[in-house]
Amino acid sequence: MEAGDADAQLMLRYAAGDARAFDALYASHRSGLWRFIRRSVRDLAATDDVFQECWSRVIANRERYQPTARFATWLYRIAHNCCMDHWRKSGRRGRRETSDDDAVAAAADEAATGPLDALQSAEAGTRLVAALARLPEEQRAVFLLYVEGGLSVAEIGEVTGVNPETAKSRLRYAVARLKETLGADAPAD
Amino acid sequence: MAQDEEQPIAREPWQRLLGERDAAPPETTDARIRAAARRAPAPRTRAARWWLPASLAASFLLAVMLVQWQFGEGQPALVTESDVVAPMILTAPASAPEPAIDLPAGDTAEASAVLPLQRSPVVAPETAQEYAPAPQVAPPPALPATESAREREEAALMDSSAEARQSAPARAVASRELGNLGALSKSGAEPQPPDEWYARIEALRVAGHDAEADAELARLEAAWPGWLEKNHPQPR
Repeated sequence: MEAGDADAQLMLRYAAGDARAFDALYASHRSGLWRFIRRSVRDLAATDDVFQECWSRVIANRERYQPTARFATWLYRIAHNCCMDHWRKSGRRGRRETSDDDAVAAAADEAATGPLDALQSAEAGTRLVAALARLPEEQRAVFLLYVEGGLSVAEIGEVTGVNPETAKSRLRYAVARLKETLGADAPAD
Repeated sequence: MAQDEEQPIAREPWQRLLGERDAAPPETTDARIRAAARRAPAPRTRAARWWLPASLAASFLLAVMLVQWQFGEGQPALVTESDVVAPMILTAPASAPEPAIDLPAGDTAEASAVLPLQRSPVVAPETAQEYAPAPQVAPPPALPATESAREREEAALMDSSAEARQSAPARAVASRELGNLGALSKSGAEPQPPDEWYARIEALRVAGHDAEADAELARLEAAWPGWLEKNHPQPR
């Protein structure tokens, strides 16, 4: 456990019965985890189910939590496993690339969430979301864990069960594909 | 290089591009998860609240049941002193010699206080000769203190013998004593055959115990009336 990992201390306090520690943990991670699951699963209803399932596992395993790593690593490992379970249950193959039709539908879904959102979302953002949907699931998971979860390459390797070099390679491939899709709108390194 | 290993690609531009759309779960989901988190630790607290009193009550109940079972009906309550002393009487060696006691004449009081404690417990004699009364040996006149101590000791032994006689094993010892003397059979209800009885009386007389021989003779005559005059007529 890292000495400065306040989240791990909060989790230990929650495991000891302090419910307010959970509120602090939840407030700290709810947005990032929701975005990670939302962009991994894409379907809004499924996102809600997976999100609740993830936190239910956190609650159920609170007494078995061992602060051997950052709390975020533990949390996103649970979230990643929940996403895998969702894909397994919904019959989607883990390694299948999303079709263009799915990507277009996902982008349309993103854009159709409301007039205010539509105004706020830039065209590049919509294209990025569509491009994400077309990535292989391994690359998408690595990219989202890196950008939305804030995990390091080593932590991503731990979460996804691969070595850090493989995680870094997947991240580089994902970023290269997204840049290729976005063209001039892609962020510069 | 370390920065490249830790963060090979800049996060912030990609985070800005993705924006904050659908950045948060619905409030109903938040409320549901927070409620589940609050419910989870509560049962442990409630369980801890009733577990300790319940375990204490169960332990107390078990202890009461054990005590009642121990002292209840059909169970031996306590081991009495006679239960311990009687087997000792039956198993103690008969040949244990009594140590000689020699005290100075002026220590009567001390001797009377010490001697009963020095005596060994009552020893059951095993042979008929041991049951015979010991010859009255006159105490040495130079030891009046020893004689006084012996009297107290004998009194204490008589008391303890009386207590021991009240128990069943002690009564068995007394019955065996009578059987060895030839007065009665093992049960005490039927007299022994007169021939054997008379032979024992003769043996007593030869040994010099005339008084006991006369007493036994009287009991033989009472048990077998006419047998003595018929078989061993004596001039009167």
